[in-house]
Amino acid sequence: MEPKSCSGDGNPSRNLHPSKPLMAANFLRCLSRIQQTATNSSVGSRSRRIRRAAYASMAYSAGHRRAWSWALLRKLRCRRVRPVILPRRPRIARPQVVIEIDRAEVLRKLVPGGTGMDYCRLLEETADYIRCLATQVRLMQTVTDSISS
Amino acid sequence: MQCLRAPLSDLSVLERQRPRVEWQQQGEEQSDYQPYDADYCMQSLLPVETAFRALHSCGGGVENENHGNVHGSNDCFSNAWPDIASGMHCPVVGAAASVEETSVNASSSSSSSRKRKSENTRRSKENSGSDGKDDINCKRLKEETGGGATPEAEQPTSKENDKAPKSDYIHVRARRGQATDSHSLAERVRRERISQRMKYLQDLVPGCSKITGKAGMLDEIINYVQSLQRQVEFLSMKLAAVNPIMDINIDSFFGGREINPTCKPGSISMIGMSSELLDQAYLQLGSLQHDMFMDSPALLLRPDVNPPAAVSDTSLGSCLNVSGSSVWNTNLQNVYGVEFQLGRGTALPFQSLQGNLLPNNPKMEM
Repeated sequence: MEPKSCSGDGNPSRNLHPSKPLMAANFLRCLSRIQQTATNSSVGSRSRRIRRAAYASMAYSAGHRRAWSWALLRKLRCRRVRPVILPRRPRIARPQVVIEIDRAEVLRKLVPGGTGMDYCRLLEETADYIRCLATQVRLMQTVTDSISS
Repeated sequence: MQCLRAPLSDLSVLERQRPRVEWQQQGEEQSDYQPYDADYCMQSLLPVETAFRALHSCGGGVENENHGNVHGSNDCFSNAWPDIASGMHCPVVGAAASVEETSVNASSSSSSSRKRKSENTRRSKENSGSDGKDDINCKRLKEETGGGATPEAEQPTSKENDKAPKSDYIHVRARRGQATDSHSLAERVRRERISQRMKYLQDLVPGCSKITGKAGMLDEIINYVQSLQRQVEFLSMKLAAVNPIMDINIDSFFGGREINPTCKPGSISMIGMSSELLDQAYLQLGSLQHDMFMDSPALLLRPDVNPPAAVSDTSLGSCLNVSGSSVWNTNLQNVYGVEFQLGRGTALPFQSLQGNLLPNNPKMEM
């Protein structure tokens, strides 16, 4: 869990995820596939696909050791099937107003797979998730920049 | 699972304690496995009351995630209780020990079983008000048993492992004046862990160094995660919008399996750009730690490579394929589903492809 110092570049590279090359290859591959198969579809659906590809490649390169990647992959896999809309429970009006925000709960919702773990593990997963996300964002930024330039 | 034996003589107690003390001083940071030593646990007690408490606690649970053999030990202790009570030589032992070891043991079986669940450590944290000073590193000071700052000060609290290697125990040293019951110790260990992770997160999230306090930090972390996710959304939309322009064979970029032998004229620049893209992507990656990509950057960056696209295609493609090949492909296929139709490429078609590409290149470059 120690931050890996990948190269001598200083701070930005310190947070690089070690599997960034893998991530890059995965993502670019997916991009090409999407490009090929969905030339006629709308921007919206294509962007959704790209986003899903981004998360999938990120989760895949992170490996199965991480709870968040595992949960993310499972979620994505299930989404291939028709997404089932669960019936919403009727909201019961609570008498008292909850003033205090449970930040741990919010974090759990954000990080995939966060609901089933204790606080300590949640923090660990969050750290790894942040690292991967940052790497993915940087990767996508590079791709867009080079494409659009 | 060792059951309690009858307590030994005093001399043996001291002898036994010394090496353990030394060990404890050395290897505090690691959670080592220790042979379960019920005797040691017993012998470092002072009066019988504390012995009683210790007996129950020694059999108890561990704060850890692996709660392997805790249940067994508890039963063992409760069975052996009558034997122990009769033959205790407490005072000599008590004088010798400043309790060197601390362990996590539940104070009662019921609470121990409750503690074993990892969820409940959180709840017990709210309940534990018994801590005195709340320092982060609790691994240095010995605890004075003579003065007895707290009534439970004499409790031995050594986390000991029994023979099974599966459960690992964390050895913690209690500070002076702090409660040594198992709950608070477990809490302390947990709090240390959490603070470690918070520090790591603080390094990770930019702009968090000034913020102190858990709530503010958590807020920042949440904001950062949300902003990163939003960025991914935004960039994917941007990519989707930009994509139509490059109507190439990015597949050729990947040493593609579906590559057309008839290269479109417009695709020349695209291919060049795509290899450039890959160059840039790789250059930005810092050190390429992954083995399989070690040679490809070298190939990519070589200026004298004649058809740079072709070489990069095949090299990258072959690299990609060599890695974990079929497993990777099928896994990815499962993940991406429709969008991701992987060719069943092995190295073989690439060689033929290379053969195809090279003669084509003069045509392309014309």
